[in-house]
Amino acid sequence: MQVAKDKIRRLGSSGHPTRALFEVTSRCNARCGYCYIAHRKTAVELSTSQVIRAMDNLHSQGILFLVITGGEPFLRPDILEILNHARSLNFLSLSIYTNGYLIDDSRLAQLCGMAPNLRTIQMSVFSHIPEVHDSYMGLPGSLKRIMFSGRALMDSGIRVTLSLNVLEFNVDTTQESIDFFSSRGFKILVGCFKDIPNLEVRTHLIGSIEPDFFERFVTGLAPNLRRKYLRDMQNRCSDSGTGLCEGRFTQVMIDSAGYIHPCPSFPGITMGNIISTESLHSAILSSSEFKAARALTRDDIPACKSCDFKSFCSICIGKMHNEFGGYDKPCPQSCHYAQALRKAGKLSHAAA
Amino acid sequence: MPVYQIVEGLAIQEVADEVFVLNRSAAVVHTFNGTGRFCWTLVREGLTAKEIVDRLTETYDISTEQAELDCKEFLAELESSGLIACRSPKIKSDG
Repeated sequence: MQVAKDKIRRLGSSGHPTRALFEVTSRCNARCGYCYIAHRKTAVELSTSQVIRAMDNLHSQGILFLVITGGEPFLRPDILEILNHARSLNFLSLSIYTNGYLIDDSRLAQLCGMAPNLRTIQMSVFSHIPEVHDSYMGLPGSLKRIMFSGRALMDSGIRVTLSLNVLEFNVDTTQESIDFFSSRGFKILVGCFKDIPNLEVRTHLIGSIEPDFFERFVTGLAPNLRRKYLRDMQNRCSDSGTGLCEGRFTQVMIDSAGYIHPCPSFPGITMGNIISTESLHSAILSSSEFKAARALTRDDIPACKSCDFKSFCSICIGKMHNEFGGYDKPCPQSCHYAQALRKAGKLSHAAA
Repeated sequence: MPVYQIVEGLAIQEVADEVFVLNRSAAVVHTFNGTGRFCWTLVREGLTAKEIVDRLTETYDISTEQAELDCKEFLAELESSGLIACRSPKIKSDG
């Protein structure tokens, strides 16, 4: 589904985000060592009627793309009621992010019946080897369930994306996992993460992945995929008017208590609550905290202004804010990834 | 004059001054320019092609001939994209 990027960008710049990620719970049944959400101190959760009101509000205020996420959304006994309501609102796109473990036969049958309004289900995976995947998540039999329900969902016309999360323990088998899942018809998204034992640090999304990890990740990819990553990043850099991540304009994140944040990587800024706000647009534009982040360009960050890596880098300003409480310095993780990508670019060039 | 209606099952969302229309069967999202948005709104209100032409000439500084041409092209495009369907018989041309 192609939507005119320039229109999305223009709306976002004028304070009209078009994508919302809605964390309907912060509870989770998995025990992933990098995840920030399950350890939040505020475990408040909206009631069913509040979630429905929040979704009505998001729809009436122009959200085109709704993502239901968590924690693990299927821990909510009312999740199908929530999804059915979201479906009835007829967003341009409705997606759900899950670890897939709680999708039993009954839920699977109901989800299959939600196509085409339910467009995508994204499930997290860590390896194509069941023992590796299951033991990291702490959920025995998990990968088998994902493969089974994923196939059924695809057969019913729902797009299934597997989010392959790459960490120290599985970085060297990334390409094998991609090949395995791709050959079975799944669309794959790859993200790099780092296990962080300190829960306080993890909850605040502090800490950067090291350069050598990114190098192992990038050089372990097949050459065609490496080139695709480079192209995607370069396209993202050239599309961006500011040289920084554009997600701050185009999306919002609603946490499990209804509070509005710029995105999941930006929990430190709150712009009211979706239950009580009359205008998402006003909430965004009147947030003095967010104003500086919206106005920021690459040239405002001294170290980035003339950086050699800038065509390989789309800086996450949420991580900058988490790490330093401001926007004077780039987050090291963005720099590390850009360095690895540039090195990979040289490798690809040499191999061509 | 033919009257068109919006096809069932589309996802339609309005944000600020933009309209986004998704035809799920084709997985294509349509957006319109200013005049297109104006005409789309009139189609949704159930106006006939003739009434749309009248409203176009009232609102924009264009001739009736130009408005008829623009309207015909726009409606044909919406129809071929599966966004609208004719609900009254089209008048056959003499040719």
